[in-house]
Amino acid sequence: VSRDAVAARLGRARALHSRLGAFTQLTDGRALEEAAAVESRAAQPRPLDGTAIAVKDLIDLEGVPTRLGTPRAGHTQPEQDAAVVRSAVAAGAVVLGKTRTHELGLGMITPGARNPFDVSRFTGGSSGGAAAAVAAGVADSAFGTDTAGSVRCPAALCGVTGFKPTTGVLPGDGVSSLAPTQDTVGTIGATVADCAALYRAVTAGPGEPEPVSGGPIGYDAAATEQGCTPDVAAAVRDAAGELAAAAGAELVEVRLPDPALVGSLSMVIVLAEAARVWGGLLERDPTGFGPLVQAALRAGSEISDDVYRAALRRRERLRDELDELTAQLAIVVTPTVGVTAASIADPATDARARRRLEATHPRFTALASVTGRPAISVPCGLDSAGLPIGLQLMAAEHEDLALLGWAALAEDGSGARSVVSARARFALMAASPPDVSTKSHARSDAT
Amino acid sequence: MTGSLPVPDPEAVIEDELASYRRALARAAARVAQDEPADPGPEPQLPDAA
Repeated sequence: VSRDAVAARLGRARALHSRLGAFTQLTDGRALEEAAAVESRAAQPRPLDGTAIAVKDLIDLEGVPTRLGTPRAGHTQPEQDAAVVRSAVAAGAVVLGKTRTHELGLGMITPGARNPFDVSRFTGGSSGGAAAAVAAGVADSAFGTDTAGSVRCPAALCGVTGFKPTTGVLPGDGVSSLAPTQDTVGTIGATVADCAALYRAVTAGPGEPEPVSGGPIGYDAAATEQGCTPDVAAAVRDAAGELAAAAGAELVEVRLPDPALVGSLSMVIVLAEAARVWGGLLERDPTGFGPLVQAALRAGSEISDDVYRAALRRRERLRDELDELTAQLAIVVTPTVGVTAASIADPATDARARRRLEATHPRFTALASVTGRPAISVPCGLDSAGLPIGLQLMAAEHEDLALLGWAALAEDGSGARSVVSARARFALMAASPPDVSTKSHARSDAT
Repeated sequence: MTGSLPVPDPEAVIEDELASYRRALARAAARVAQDEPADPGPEPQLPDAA
């Protein structure tokens, strides 16, 4: 990569800012320095040389304020990069800047970020800025965080790939915490290979996606039909069948755990832990948080230890039940999100519409978060409005490389290719006049 | 008349949202307790507060 190429990416990020709101801060100085370093050691290439990455604003960058999407609470001025960023840069990545997050990562919308497929629609969240930056071709890949689906949901809604590794595999040093027993650093990329490359740079292990072998593939047809719009259900059904045919694997009907139970566990655990992490600051400076997060943290502080312990016990049993259910399966496939990207206008003015979205989006993703399993969303089609649909693949704990192998096969499906073709038109997406409603978020360079 | 939206009172937003969370958490706690076995086993270790 050349400095000119990186400068072009930064210019594109600025040009698209008023339309997408993907970035909260660009880091021109370090990006150009990192690109120069890559150029100067061209004879000794590294795996991520010149890969332009974006970093969710819950993850530290040296010398750049970490703002967590809050009005004031928890802002810091880090003295070093988060561990995952250090690994990526050591492998040759170039950091373009920080991307917009839903406040604290506690939400599935990412207000202020807009979907490149239709800028009147949400990106999903909470890593919505990262997904938009990758979908629009500004960044090759990005680091996000995923506590109940926050990497996979926006990836699905923005037509890119989002990978949540097994919980705890990627280091959380320098990453803001929401619910410590479920928080996971994840990767978003244009392709499975992009996600895998970032993962490999951090884990420093063998890291190559494993060739697909065997099967069978688990698929819960009833849950898909009940939890999705007809377009999403049809695309997922077709993609699951196509994947099984491509792998020569059997598609086996399974009955996954009740989404109401999984959602209940996730809600109790996430809110109880978030209140433990952020409750002290809430008491000292309540208006440092937005009103919705103030309410969430207050509600979390009211969860009794007995209820929280009951949720932790039930989670352990759920893990055992899922292990038993999937013992003979290579992977399980589900929709990532049962709907496509929602119009921004509705939840912005209607609290019930927003709550419905917040409840709907993690319906299929929370299971992997609650049980700690690796899961990935790959594009699998477009709905009748041309909005992307995601297929989620989930494997057993620590089967991350096998999962990536299956995902690479899934992204060769016909539905996935239609999303990639649709994404290609974003290359033509040009700058528009400054948008007053988002201009206040624009910051230039921190360095 | 212009078309600008009224700015909601933050305290009212918080109270409304808190009431919604309380209802949802009551349902969630009931769902979790629904199939709690008679002998729930050893107490899980609570993570340390930050």
